[in-house]
Amino acid sequence: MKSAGRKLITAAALGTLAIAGLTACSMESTAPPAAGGGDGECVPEDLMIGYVNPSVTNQGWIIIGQGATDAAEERGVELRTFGPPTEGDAAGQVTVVQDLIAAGADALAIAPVDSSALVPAVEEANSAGVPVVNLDSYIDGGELASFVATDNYAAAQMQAEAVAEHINGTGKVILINGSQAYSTGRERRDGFVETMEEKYPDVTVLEVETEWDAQTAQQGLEDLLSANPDVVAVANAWDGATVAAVPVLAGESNDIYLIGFDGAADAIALMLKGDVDAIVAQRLYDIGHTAIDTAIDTACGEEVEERIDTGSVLLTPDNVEKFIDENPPIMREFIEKAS
Amino acid sequence: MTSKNDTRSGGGSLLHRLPAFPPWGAALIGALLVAIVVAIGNDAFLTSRNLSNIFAQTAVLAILATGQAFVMLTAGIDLSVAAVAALSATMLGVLTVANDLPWFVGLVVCLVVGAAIGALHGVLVGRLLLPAFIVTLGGLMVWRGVALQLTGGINTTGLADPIRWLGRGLVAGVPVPAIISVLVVAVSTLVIVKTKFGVGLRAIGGAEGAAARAGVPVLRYRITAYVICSVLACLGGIMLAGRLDSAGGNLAQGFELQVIAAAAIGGVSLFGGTGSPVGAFFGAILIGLIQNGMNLGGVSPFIQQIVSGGILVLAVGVDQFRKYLARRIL
Amino acid sequence: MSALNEAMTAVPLLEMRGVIKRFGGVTALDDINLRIDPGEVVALVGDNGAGKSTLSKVIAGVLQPEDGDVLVDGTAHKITGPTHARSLGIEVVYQDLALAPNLDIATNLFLGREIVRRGAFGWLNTRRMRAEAKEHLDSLDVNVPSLTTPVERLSGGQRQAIAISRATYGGHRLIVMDEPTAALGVRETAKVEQLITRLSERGISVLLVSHNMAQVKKITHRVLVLRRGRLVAERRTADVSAEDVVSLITGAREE
Repeated sequence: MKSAGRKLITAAALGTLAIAGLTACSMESTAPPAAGGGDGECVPEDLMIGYVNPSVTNQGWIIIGQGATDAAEERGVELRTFGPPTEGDAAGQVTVVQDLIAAGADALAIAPVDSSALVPAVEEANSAGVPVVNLDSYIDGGELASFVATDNYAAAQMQAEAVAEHINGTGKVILINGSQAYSTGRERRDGFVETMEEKYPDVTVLEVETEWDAQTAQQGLEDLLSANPDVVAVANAWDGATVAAVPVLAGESNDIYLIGFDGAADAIALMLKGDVDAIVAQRLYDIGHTAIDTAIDTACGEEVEERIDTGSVLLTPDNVEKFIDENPPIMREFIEKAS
Repeated sequence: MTSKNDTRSGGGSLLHRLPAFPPWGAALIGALLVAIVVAIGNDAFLTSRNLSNIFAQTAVLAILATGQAFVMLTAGIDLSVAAVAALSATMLGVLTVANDLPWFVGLVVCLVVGAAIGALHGVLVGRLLLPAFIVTLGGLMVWRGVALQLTGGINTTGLADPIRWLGRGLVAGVPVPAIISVLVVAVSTLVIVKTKFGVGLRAIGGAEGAAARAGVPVLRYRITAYVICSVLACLGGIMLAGRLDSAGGNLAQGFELQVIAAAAIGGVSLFGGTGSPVGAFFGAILIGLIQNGMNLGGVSPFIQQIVSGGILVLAVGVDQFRKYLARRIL
Repeated sequence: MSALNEAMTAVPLLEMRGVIKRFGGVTALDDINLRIDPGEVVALVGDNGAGKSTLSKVIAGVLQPEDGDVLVDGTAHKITGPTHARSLGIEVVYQDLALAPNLDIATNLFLGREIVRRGAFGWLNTRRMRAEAKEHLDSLDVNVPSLTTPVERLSGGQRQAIAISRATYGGHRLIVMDEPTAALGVRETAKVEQLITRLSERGISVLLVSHNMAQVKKITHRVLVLRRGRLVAERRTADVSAEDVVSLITGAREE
């Protein structure tokens, strides 16, 4: 019928106009906005730095975030912090990056959920002329102004040495790994396992695989312990596992050396209680602080170092108090809240 | 005159008896098979310590899957169970550790909040007729968000002794969580099979219109099912926190999928009307056995996921085949 | 077909006087006057859209009439809903049978009115329900393999029989049935027809909505013919032939 045909054409025309209009708008917003000042001419108040974290369910990230916030405040720039809507959501993180670019970020600091999934996001930032600082876990692609992180491999080596020393270079050790899809997971495993293989051949490493979740870590530990009651040490790739290991080891008759990785508040609280023997602590605050500092420098067009190792420290009951004091008061607050 | 109506299942050939095989039968047989396979491959499997671990480790899964069974019987689903577990554990941590309230007060408050959450789900699904999938998917995000917001993402450790006992205690050498899970499953099964409420739930799932016309209080029973599911989720969350000695918003992340898988493997139908908590129990055990076998053998969690997913599809397939067989025989 | 009181009983089980039902501007039932006596099987026939379904729903309490009286046992009632109708002894066997296919026969018979033991938990008295179910089914001569069989495993005719048994359990006296044998084969249809006859022998009345003239001739005592909302004819089944009824339906013959 004629009227139906006319309605169809009208609808199609309106639809096409709508799509064209929307496309035009979005195209405008992906064009890089004029940076305030651009080259070397750096007015802090005009700068906006985007900080993208993997999500905030892990305490370590809160301390990193605190370092980031403090750095931005110290230098007087605006910091916008976002994580993906759900933990481990790589696509969500990519969207966050795109949104920050569209909002006119002068530099980005990205801690990726997944080492390869964020590459396209970095490339987009590159073409928009927004410098990218990578923190914590390596993004293997795109142009990165700097990589600010703990040398996880070296830290894991330190962890292995601490264990080996305590057990006199011989015996069964359980290693609880994080997700091997993350570079951090791989580095922490390799640093530990390779040190044992090369330097302490009499040490047997039994591994538990997890996706960074405490429940799987605990179950894996229980199962391996039940099959190997003569285990002398337990090493963890992150402190969520360390904390989960404490109640399991509490039920063991023999004394098993427990060493963690990260330096999260709840693990430190347990160390103060005497339940954890050692922790290879990242300088989490420094990671956040340095990352944002570096990002601000890149936004101002300065040259920065390509790889910044924020280092790690082996915490034991002897030096843990000093470590807490060296860190901002928020850490002590967290430790108290956690106990 | 001999009555032609027999009140008990008649005899008849083996073929006629086969479909009477219960929906949870496949899960039980599957669990036994996996146990045998793992036992052959690992000397460490058949020790009392390892077996005791398995029952303790799967207790929380069994309890959450039992709660899920109530909801699934009404042809509903609750995707928020793991988030509710996390919220309840987080609340318990905040109340008892940060605010020094006595543990039983914290426990009661958490269970009451859980009941309220369940009631909310039930009303949205039963009265406003929103799809259960959407409502509880929203719940999954909202309740976990609330949990994270409560503590700013920080986990509480150092929970009260009785709470840790719920997760890790022993009674005459038997792990407390295992005892609790068996009790929960037993009572729930009795409710579903032997009470008016249970019949009503199954009728709602099987033919809601018929149930309504027959006078079954559909809305009331449906809300009750969601309340039971959330309360059991809270119980499980608290037990899990006690076992990990850590309560926070990231507890049991992603666990809801295992819960639904356990129930489905156990013969609880997503379409409603069939299944029992006994099945959820064996489904949970089956999943736990696979995890245990993989841990003992050092198999990567990726393979564990593939195997678990495969078992789920297989189990549902077996159940469908059983029903198909039943229809063909008559 | 006997056992029907030869003399009409003084008080009819159901009587309708001047019942009118309207939907907006449309008059679906226009001045309906009828009576049904205890133990009668009455056929309600008419073309599509004649108002059979509306009339059944008014009797069942699903719809309320705009005007007129509905009397049950001589007393006028405003039937407010299906539950009210049920309490007056009127029950309907729906097309979808209102059975839960996943539950067994005994459970279905008692659905919504289970026998429970004393106490707060609604604990089922399964043994008693099974015994009473057996007794009720035996009295209607309904054959099923076992009371624990899930209803979905029964044949169509058996399911119909269970639905009818359910409707008659608990002292209901008027059963309204809509095309109960439409989907059944010959043998099963015969069984259901026998069941309906047995109901009538026990003093239960049946209002049978049907398109099947052979069935009407076989088991009913009276035929009510609806055309465009009006009751255009009422005959004793024995007095009419199937062709006569068809003509009355289409209007080829007037009253």
